[in-house]
Amino acid sequence: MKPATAIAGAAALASLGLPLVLPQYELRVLILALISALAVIGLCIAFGWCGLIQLGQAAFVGVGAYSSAILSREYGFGFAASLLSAGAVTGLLAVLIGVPLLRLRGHYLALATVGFNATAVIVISNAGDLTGGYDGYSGIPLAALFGIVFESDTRFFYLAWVILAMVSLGVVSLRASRFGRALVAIRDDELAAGTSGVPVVRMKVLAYGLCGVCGGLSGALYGHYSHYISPGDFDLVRSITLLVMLIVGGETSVLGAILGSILLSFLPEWLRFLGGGYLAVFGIGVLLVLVLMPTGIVGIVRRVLQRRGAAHG
Amino acid sequence: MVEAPLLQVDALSRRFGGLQAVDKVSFAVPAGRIVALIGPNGAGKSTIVNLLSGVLKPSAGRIVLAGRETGGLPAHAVARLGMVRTFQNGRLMPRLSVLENVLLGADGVCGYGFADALLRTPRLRRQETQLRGQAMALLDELGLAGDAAREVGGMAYGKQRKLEIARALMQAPSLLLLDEPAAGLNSAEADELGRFVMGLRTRGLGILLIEHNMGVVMRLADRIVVVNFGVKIAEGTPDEVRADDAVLEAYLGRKAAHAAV
Repeated sequence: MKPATAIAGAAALASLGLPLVLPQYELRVLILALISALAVIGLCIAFGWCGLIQLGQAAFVGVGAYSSAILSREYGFGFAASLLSAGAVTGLLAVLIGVPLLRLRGHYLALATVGFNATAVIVISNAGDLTGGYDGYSGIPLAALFGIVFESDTRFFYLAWVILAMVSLGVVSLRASRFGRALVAIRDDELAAGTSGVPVVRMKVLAYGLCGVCGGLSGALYGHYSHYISPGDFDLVRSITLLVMLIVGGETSVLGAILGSILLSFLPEWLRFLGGGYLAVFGIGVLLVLVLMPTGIVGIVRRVLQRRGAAHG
Repeated sequence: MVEAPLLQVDALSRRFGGLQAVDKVSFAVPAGRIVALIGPNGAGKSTIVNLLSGVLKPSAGRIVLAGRETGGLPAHAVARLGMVRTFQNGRLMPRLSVLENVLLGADGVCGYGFADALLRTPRLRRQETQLRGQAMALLDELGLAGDAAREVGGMAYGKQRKLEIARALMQAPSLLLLDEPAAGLNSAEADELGRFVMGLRTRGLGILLIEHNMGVVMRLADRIVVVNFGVKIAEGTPDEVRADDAVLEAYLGRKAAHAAV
């Protein structure tokens, strides 16, 4: 096992003890961070691996949140069914809009995804009885699985942890397969990927679809955790935050997606003493990260480990 | 009955706006033969390779590989049918390891599906192990086995050119389009590459070689096709082409050609 993998595994196991030591408020922030991490892993696939700029991830999270909320409150879906349906619905939507959208590249694709996010928020805000409009959607049932009701934060933490772990393991093994190689190759050199036998268009749509599935799962979990969702939870600012989480953590790595989500979820709490100056400090901090450590937290850790390995070996 | 050649190109043409970049070019590449495509800079050689490999769509004409028309198919489909190219400037994937760059070429031959990849099933493990073995054997053959785990960035230029050939061979091609494989290599490296390409010919691959290094071309090619201004101006054995007036003129200019004769 590589040292980085061993450390990550140990840290993940150690984190299982966190509900015992964290104060309730911090635990809530951590749960929201794990939920965000699901959406950020989707961005890791689409943007980090495949290079598709996605500034509409919050809209996918919103589609997942509203579909699972409506399915469970109006149609009596159980938690597992509403979670999986939300992933499927959002993934399908991503594929449907991906087919025309992914003909665009670079700035044009970025703009189109911004447009998609804005449209989604407007549609949700104006869909009246179906979504509750601007007032939001409340009364989303508690999550329950195998007779366990996840009503406490401690229980929900374990639920989110397990779902995140399952998705992470799946995505990590995807990277080690022909799909992972093909997606990374497309970002590196689309033309040469094609002449190497990679069906470029199909792979891009797949990446975008998976990005949607992850966003949808994240949204469904968010709804079941907070019991109330509103259009403002899924606006463009949220999309940008999700992308910043990925970039700060390390854009090509699942571990980076998780670390970035945790760090950027806690950062506003740690900087609370700055009051109104918070956003300025936050913005400058993100800029510094982009300039000084383009490979993110994971990149820096990896470099340190390599240096140590070289020194010892 | 004469067997149809592996690759048959008929009256292939491509226009870019007002420019006729390739004009009714025809030639054939049989299996187990090396055909060189030469011509001065801007003659249309690269456009022809782009047309054959599906990077560009032909305006007119036919490309038939082993009885199948491939003109107009997307690049990955052409590659999966067995016509695989390399690039003049070696386009490798900097974020993949050397071994992964070779494995990328196996995308079309991997038999496992998406669910296998998510769940890391035994089926995937078995196939990946086998593909890794194949890729390592290729790297070994090209003298790159020691570099398998490293990144492509910072690799010596000569090694990068070989790695690109390994990626192409991983796709199990029947026809290889080599776009200036000797460009930037020193003469020892070019000789080594030449021997390797001759070895591929013996294995029955058809090879279309685009090359500026005339020494390499004359030594390797069974036949030479000469293009200039998008038109085929000569075709024949190396000796025939060397003595062809039109070729001398294209390369040296009219006066010099007369002086040479």
